[in-house]
Amino acid sequence: MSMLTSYQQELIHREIDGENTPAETIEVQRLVESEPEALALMTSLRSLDALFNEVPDRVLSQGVIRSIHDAMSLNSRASPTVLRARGTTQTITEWAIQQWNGVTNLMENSMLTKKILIGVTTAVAAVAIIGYVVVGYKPSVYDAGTVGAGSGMSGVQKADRFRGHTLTEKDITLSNPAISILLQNDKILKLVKSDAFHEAMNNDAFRELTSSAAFHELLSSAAFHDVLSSDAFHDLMSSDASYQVLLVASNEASHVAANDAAHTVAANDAAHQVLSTEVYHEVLNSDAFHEIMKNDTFHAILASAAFHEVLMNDAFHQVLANDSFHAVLANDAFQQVMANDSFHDLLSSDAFLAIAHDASLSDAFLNEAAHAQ
Amino acid sequence: MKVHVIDGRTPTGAVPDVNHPDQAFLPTFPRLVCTVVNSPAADDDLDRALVRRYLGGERAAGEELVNRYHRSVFNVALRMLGNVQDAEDVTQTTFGNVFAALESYDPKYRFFSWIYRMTFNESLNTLKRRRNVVSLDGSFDVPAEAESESASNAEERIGRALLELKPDDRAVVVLRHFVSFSYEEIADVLGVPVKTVKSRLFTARDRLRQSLLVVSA
Repeated sequence: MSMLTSYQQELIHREIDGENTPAETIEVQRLVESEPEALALMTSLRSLDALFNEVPDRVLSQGVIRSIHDAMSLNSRASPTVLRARGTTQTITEWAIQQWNGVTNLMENSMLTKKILIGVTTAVAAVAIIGYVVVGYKPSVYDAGTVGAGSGMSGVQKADRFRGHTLTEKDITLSNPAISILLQNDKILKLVKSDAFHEAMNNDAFRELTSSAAFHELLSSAAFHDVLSSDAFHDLMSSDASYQVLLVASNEASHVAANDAAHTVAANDAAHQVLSTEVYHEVLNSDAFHEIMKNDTFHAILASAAFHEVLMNDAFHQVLANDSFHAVLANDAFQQVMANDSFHDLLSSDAFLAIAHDASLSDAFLNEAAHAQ
Repeated sequence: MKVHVIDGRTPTGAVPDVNHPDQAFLPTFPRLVCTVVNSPAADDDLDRALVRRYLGGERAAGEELVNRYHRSVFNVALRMLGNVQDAEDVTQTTFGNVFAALESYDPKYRFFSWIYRMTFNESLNTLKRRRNVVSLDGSFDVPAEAESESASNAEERIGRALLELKPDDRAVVVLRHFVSFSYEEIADVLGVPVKTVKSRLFTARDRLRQSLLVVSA
């Protein structure tokens, strides 16, 4: 039982905290000099304080600091890109915030930034992935040398082989083993043959987006390639939880599931699962991801009306909601295609860009894919 | 308003004003470092100015806000959660929330109170999620990083002891001993009366003394 009164104890605590007035400080000094128990309390509190003072400040990792800056730019009205394209980016940003805030009734506020990040990134990735299927090709007439054999991806031609040649529909074949592998997968084939996929492909906005120089610049950037081809992104996109997040991002965009509480709750759980995974953090903290977030081209895509339209497009949503699309994301062969350096080179090539700009070439590939098997 | 600065720390990392009469007491009860700033008003004015500039379209002002606070927000979250990964998440999310809600920030309140309140709210949310989702051992998971063994040892002992406290009590201790806030500022951040702050702090410290100082005796 302490012999010190509550007042005396408080005085001593306050002294340690520097909260006493000069008069109270003198009172404490006298108390400590006259009461051994007061001295003992003061001494132990000082020891405790000293122990706290020994604890070093921790430094936040540069990766997290970059993430914060990136997230700020996504939220920001201050981004020059956003200001230039207020009519579109602002709408997207507001859409994202509004939609996610709507979901926030059931999801914690804390997830807002990350949800926007993962939603936007996966949406861009989804557009890119669908784009790969549409325009991926290997003109069989060029049989000289293949690259990527070491990674089991032989058949993907070096980009510069196609330079200076005028491509025709005849060049579009399924002889590219990588693409063949994809189309031998019944789920991928099912997706490619689906009405929703066709509709999405024929969507003007989708064509405009996927054939834009900005989109190709992004696809051919090392950073985007690194993210999409990383094991972490693969694992992330392969998980059911990620799929749920992707779904809610797309469905929210079209307001399809705005009132679907059950769906939202499911997405809530999924978001928590995704956000708690190591791979999510690995992706989010990767240099490549940060480069993308800072990339003006990425912002230009977000600001483009085409991207916005694609996000709002029902067919696109149906594709995203399609189980086959999920299978595509999780498909090892598809991941190998994306991870392949030669495929990356191909994406960077002028010929690839030419195909993307030419609707008839894409159509030819699509038709051939649809009639495969 | 007084803000004590221990070990050279202030809530916002500002250089303290060493010319204060309270230092006269130091020779009698020396502490490692104990300087006092007259008021955080100057820093607070700077924060408000940065907020205005950011909302006016100046991205660099937002970056400066992040740079001013990321370290202290992270350390507060770290001491609340005892887990580096969780603390990083809370730091990211806190800043996300801050910038998403910056337009609603009322400049009549202190910015640092606002951001720390968000940090605590998010830390508490994380603790709740842990209870609901994961095995809830509340284990201390902060890999040793300090240069000296003594510092590492102190960090681990303090970290584990803090996790034994109730979150409300822990919050008061963290703000007092890691951010060096006054009772009034702690009350402001946590939205409780000063009397409650003192009660929680004194009780928590008594527990910490028992758990920490007995071991070292």
